[in-house]
Amino acid sequence: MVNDGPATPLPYADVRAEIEADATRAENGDSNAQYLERIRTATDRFTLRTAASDDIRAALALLEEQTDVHASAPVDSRNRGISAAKVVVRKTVFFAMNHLAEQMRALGWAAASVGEAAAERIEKLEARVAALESQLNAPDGDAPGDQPAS
Amino acid sequence: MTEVHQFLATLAGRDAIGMHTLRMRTLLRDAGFGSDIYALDTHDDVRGESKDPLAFRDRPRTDTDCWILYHFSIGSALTDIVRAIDAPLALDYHNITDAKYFWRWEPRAAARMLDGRRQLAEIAPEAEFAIADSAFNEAEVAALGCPRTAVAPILLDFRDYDSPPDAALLDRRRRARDAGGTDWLAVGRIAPNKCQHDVIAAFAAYRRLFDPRARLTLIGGQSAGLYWRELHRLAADLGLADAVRFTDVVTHAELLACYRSADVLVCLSEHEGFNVPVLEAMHFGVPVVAYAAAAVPGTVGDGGLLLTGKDPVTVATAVERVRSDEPLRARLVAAGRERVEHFSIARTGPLLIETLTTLMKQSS
Repeated sequence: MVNDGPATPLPYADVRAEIEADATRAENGDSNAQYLERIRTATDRFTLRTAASDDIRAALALLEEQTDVHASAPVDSRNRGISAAKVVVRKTVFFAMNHLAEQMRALGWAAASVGEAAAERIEKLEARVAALESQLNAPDGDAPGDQPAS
Repeated sequence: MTEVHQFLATLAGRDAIGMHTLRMRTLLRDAGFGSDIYALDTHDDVRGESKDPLAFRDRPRTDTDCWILYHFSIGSALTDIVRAIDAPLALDYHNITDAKYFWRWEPRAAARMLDGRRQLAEIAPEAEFAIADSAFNEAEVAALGCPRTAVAPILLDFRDYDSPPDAALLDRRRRARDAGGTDWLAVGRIAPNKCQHDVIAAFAAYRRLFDPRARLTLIGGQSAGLYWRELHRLAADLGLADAVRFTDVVTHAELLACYRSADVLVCLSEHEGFNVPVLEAMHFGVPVVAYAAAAVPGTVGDGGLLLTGKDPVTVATAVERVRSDEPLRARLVAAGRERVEHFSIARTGPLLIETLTTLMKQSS
C-alpha cells in the first residue's frame, strides 16, 4: 500500500524560517505599507465567514453580506464569440435584471433590518435574564426588594 | 474469474477521476479481472467507454465473484442504485469539498456537497472496504465507520504530458518571458475552496515588492460564477487587470504550453483530496509553492515548498526565494521529479491492484 502521508514535520523548515524573517523585513518597509494594507483590505471580503448555531450576530453579518445583489452576470468565456454573445444578452435584459436586483437588494436589507431588530431584542432579553438569574442566585439578603434604600 | 465493475456519477475524459477510472479498468483487465465502467452521465470525449448503471441488474448472470467499486466524490442518484445491487461493495473515495466554502458563492453546489456527505455517511459503513487517494481522504472515510481502508493514489500517467504543447501559445508566452517578468501559474477549477483570491493577493504583493513586470495565469474553468466575478473585481481593484489572465478551460496542448513556460506554480487551496496540478508542475520542473492544508502536504511531500500560512507578503517572499535562490530551486526540482516517480502509474498501478486484491480477500 502506498504511503503518501504528510511529511512530519514539514520539510524545508530552515528555508521557511528565513522566508518569514525576510517577509517581516519587507512588510516593515515604509514605501509599501499602504499598498500592502490595500491588498489585505481588498481580500477581506473573501474571508470565510460561518456562523455558529447560536451566534445571531454572525448570522446577521452573513445575511447583510448577501444583500449585495448584482445585476450584471459574468460574461467570461474562452470562446470570444460566446463571450460577445453573453455581452449582447446581458445588455438586452439589463433593464429587467436591474429592476429585479433592486427589489432583491431592498428585500435583503429589509430582512437584515428584521434580523438586527431581533438580535437587539434577544440580547436585551438575555441580559435581563442573566441579571435576574444572578439576583435569584444571590444570598437572601441580596434578593430583589431586599436592598436597603439609600 | 472475479469481476470488479466500476461505478461513477460522471465519466469525463479530461477529468482526473475519469482518467483514473479508465486506467484502473485497463489495469484490472490486465490483471485478469472482468471489469466494465458504469456511469450515469458520460461526456462526449469518452462516449462508448461506459454502460448504463440501471442495465447492470439485467446483465447475464455468471458464476464469478462480482464486486462493485464505487468512485465517490459528490452526492448522486447513483448511490441508491449502487446500494440496491446484490454484490459486495467497495468505495474509491476521492473526497467531497466542504460545503462551507460554497454557501456564499454557489448555494446549489453547497447543497449537493452536503447531500454527498450524507450519502457517504450512509454508504461507508455498508462498504466492505474503501480505498482513498490520500491519507487525508482515508481518515475521513474511516471516521465514518468503513471497516477496512487503505491509501492508493489517483492513477497518473505522466507520459500523457510528453505530447506536443500548443506551439503558438508557447511561443507567445516565451516571448513575453524573454521581455522580462516572472510567470506565476495557478492551475485548478476556479472555486472558493481553492482560494485563487489568496493567489491574486500574494501576486499583488509580489509585483509591489519584487517584480513589477510579473504575470499570473489562472488556469481553470469556473464553477461559482459569483466567485469568478469577484476575482476579476479583486484583480481590477489592485491594479492587476493587465497582469492577471483568466484562461477558463484550456486544451491539453495549451496546458502543456503554460507549464513549459512557467517560473513557479502557486497553490493556496484550503481543501484538496489529492491535487494533481502540483505533480504536473513537478513533472515539468516547475517549482511549487503551496499552502500546507488538507491532502496537499501528502501530495507535495518534499517536492515543493510548503507554507504554514498564506499571508500575501510571506507567499510573495517565498516565490521570490524560489525564483532567485538557484540551489534551492534545483533542490526542489530534483525532489519534485522524485515525487513524480513516486506517483507514477508504473509504481502506483501494481500497488493499487495489490491493495484491491488484498482487501477483497480480507473481506471475503
